[in-house]
Amino acid sequence: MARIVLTDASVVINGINLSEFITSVSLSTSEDVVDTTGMASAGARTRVAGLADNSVTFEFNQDFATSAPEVTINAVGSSLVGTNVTCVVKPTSAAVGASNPSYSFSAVVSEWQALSGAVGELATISATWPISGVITKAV
Amino acid sequence: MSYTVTSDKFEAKKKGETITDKELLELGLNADALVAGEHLKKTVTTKPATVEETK
Repeated sequence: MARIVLTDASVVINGINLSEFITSVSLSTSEDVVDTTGMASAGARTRVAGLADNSVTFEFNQDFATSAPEVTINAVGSSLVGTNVTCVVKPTSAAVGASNPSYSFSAVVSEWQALSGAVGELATISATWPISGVITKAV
Repeated sequence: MSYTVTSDKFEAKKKGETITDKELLELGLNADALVAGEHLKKTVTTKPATVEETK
């Protein structure tokens, strides 16, 4: 199995391919750990997995032009901020397959930085959005 | 309601093609945000005039 250096990851948010503006993507899953220790646990805690908690972090290069991140996520009159949005991410832009799985999910757009950066720096956005429900993997 | 795709970044259809509310709903996409973001444009449908209306 080949290792992969991300140079062509695909990120589609609300049906719009924003890959060219994305500099980083991170899809995370953690599980609650529920303690089940009882008196007969041989002196050691016992545990089971509880609810899964998924989130996604995107880093964008901000752009205010047509078809760019700002108008896609935070358009005047109908912003996606504060709503659930369908997202699909893939390691590369190639067709979905065993070596290029797609991950689909509904994220809550809980934060957005319309303008962020210091003098002389590129305007960027770092947004971590909780995921509602499961992440569906397709190969 | 149907929409014309005006963005070449829309994944489901090519620029210039038409997509319906039903298709957007099935894909889980937010039509209002896509229109506001100028990725889609509402298609204006004109009803043919009836004989009565032309009198």
